Amino acid sequence: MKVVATASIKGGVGKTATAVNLAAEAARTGVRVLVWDLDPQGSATYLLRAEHRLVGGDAADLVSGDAELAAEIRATSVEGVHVLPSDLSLRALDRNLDAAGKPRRRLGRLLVPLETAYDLVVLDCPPGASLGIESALRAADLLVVPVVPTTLAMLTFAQLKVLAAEDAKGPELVAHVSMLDRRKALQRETATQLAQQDDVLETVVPNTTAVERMGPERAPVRAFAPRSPATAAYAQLWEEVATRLW
Amino acid sequence: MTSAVFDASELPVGAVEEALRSAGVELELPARLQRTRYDSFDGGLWRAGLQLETRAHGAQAHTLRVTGGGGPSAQLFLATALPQGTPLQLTALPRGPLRSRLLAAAKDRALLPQLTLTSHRASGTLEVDGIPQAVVHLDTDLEVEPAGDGGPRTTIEVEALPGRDTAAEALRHRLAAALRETTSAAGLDAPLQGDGLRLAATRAGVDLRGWRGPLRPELDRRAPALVGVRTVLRSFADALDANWQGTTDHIDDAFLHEFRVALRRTRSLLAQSRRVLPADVRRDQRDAFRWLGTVTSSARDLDVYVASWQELTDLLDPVDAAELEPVLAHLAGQRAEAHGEVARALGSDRAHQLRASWRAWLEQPDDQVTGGRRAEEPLGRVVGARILAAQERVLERGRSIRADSPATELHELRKDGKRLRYLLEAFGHLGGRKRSAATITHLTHLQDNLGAFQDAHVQAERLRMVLAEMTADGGSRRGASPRPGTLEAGARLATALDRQREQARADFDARFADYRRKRARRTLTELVDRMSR
Repeated sequence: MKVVATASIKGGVGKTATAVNLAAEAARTGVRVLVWDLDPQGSATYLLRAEHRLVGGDAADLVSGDAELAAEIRATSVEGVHVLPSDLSLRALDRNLDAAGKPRRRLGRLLVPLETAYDLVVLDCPPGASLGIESALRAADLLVVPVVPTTLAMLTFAQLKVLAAEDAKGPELVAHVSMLDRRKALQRETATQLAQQDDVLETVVPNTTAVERMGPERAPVRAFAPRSPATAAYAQLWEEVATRLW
Repeated sequence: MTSAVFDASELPVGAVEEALRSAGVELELPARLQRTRYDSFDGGLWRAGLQLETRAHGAQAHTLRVTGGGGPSAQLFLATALPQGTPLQLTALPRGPLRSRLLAAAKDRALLPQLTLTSHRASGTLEVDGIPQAVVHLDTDLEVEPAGDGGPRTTIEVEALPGRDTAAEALRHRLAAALRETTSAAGLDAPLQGDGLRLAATRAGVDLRGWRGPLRPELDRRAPALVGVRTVLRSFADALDANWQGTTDHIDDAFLHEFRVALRRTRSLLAQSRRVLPADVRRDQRDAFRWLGTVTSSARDLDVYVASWQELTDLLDPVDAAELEPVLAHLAGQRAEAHGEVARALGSDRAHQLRASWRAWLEQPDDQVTGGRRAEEPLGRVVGARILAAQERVLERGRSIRADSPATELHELRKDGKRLRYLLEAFGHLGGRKRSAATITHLTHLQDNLGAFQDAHVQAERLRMVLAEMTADGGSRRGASPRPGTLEAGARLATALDRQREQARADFDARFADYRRKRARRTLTELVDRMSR
C-alpha cells in the first residue's frame, strides 16, 4: 500500500481537487483507493458523496484507536474509491495526536490494518503547517503539492519543502502547477519558472470551469467532463505520480 | 460489500421497474452487458479469494474488474475487448498493484475464461441527500455460456455499499413489499445464494475452484498391490489428461510442468511395479511413456531456462546482462520450436493411441486384470519393500561419490532420489502422514542440493552450446553473428554458473552426511514397518 498526501500551507490552491481527481484516475487503472479526508471542512467528503461525520466516535477516538478506522470507511460515487470521511472534530486533530503519543508516527500506524485492502491511500490534508500535517508527511510515500503559479504560492511551497526536509523519514515531495490561468502573462511566466525545478511535475492543471463544476456535480471531473482538458491533466498527473510510487 | 441476488424470472419487468421506482431507485436505460469470469487452470484467484471478470458494455467500454481481498473493487479500463475465449496473460496488463496482486495469486499462470454471462442490464442507485446507499442491477434476457440447466432469465441484484448494509436490507424489503402489492409475488423474500456469476457457474456445472489435482487417491495398505498401484496410476493418468490440452496449446508453462510431473511419476511407478503389473503392459507402457518424456523434455528445459533468465543474468553486471539479449532471443526461438514439436507429438496418432489404450487398461475392472507374481500381496508390504530398496540405492550411490566423481554420478543419484520421492509421495501416507511428510522433507533437503548442482551444470552447458550455435550459424538462420561483447558476457555467465555448480558440489558432502544420519534412516524404517503391517 502506498500513501500520497496532498498538502499545501496555503489554502485554495486546488488541493482537494487534486486529491479527488488523483483518486478517481488511480481507480481507473485498477488501483484500490482510500481517500482520507483530514480537513475538517470536509470538501473531499462532499465531492465523493459521503456524510460529513464519523459514526463510531470522533477524531480523538480514531486517533487513540478507540474507534475502528475500517468501520468508518464509506463507499463513494466513484467505483474503486472509498472515503474515510471528514468530521468537524478533526479541528482538534493536533491535540488528539499529541495526546495519543508519538504524534508524527500516529497516522501511519493507524493505516497499517488497511494494508491489504487498499493499494493507495490519499491523505487530503488541511491547509497549514500543523502537527497533523507532519504526521501525514511521515505516513506518506509521496507528498503532492498543488502550486498556483503566483509568487505567494511559490513562497509557501518553499516553506513546505523546508518543513518536509526537517524530517529525515519524510516523503519524496513533488509539486504540480495548479489552476493556471493562461490569460495571465505573469502566471504563465511563473509556471515556466516552476517547471524548471526538478521537484515540479510536468502536468499543469488549467483553471477551467470543469474543476469549478466539481462542487455542484459532487464528482471528479472525469464523471461529468471526460473530454475536458482538466480530465486529461489529472490523468497525466496520475501517470506521473504512479511512476514515482511503483 | 455484500450482494443479494433474486430470481425475478416470473415477474413482469415493468412491475419490477415500477417497484424499484417506488422504492426510490430510478434505473438507467438497459444496455447489453457481457461478463466473463476468468481464473487460472488451478483456481489460483479462487484460492486467494479474488474474482476477476471482464465486462463489455455494449460497444463501449471494456473493463477488467477484480473483487475480493478487501477494499473496493479494482477496475481497469481496457483499450479494446479481449478476444472471446482466449487466455488472459497477466504479464500483458499494465504494471501496477493490480497486476502484481493477480500475478501473486495466479502464480504467474495464464487466466482462462470459465464462463460468460450475457444480459441486458439496467442499474440504479438509491441515494439519500445525494449520498449513495445501495446499487441495484436488473438483468434481463440472461444467457450463460456454457449453457447450464435452466436458471433464471431475469435477476435483481441489490448491492450493499460499505457501511450501508442496513440501507440495502431496507431497500430489499421495500422492493419485496411493492412487488407483493402489484404482482402478488413473494420471490424476493429468499435471495439466491452467491453472486450472479457464481450462481450461473453452479448451474452450468463449472467448478470455479479449478483443477485441484493431482489428487491423492484413498488407498488401503492391505488391499492387493495390483489394485493400489492401478489406483495411483489412474490418478497420474487423470493429471496427464487434465494438462494435455494446455500443454499442446502452450497456454502457460505450468501445463507442461504438471504434465511432465505426472509422466515422470507414471514412468517411475511402472519401473517400480515389477512382478505387480502384467509384464507386457509394464514393458509396452514404459516404452510409450519414455517416448512422451523424450519429446517433451527439451521444451521444459527451455521453459525453465527462459523463466529463470532474469535470475541468471542477475549474476552479471547490467552491461553484460544487456549484451546477452540475443542469447535470450535465440533461446526463445528454440523454445517456440520445441513447443511446436510437443504440440505435434501430443496431437499425433501415436500419442492418441497411447493415451486411449492406457486409459482403457486402467479402466478395466481389477478382477479382469492378471498381474505379476506379487500382484495379490498387500500393497503396504510390496511398496514398503520397494521404498526400502530405493532408499538403499540412494545411500549406496551417495556413499560411492568421491571428490573426482563425474557430474553424471550426481545426476544418477538425483534420479534415484526422485524414484524414492515418488514412491513416498504416492504411498508413504500408508505408514502415517506425519512420518511420511518428515521423510519427504528430509529427502528434499538432499535433492535441492543435487538439483542446484544439476541445474547449474545443464545451464552452463546449454549456454556454451547456444553460443557455439550462434557463432556457427553466422547469421544464416537466426540472425547476425553474436557480437564479441555477447560472447564475452556469455563466457562470464557460464563461469558464474560453474562456480554455482562447484558450490553445490562443495555442499554435497555435508548434505549427504545429514541425509544418511541414523535417526532419519530409522524414521523411514518405522514408516515402512507401519505400512507393511
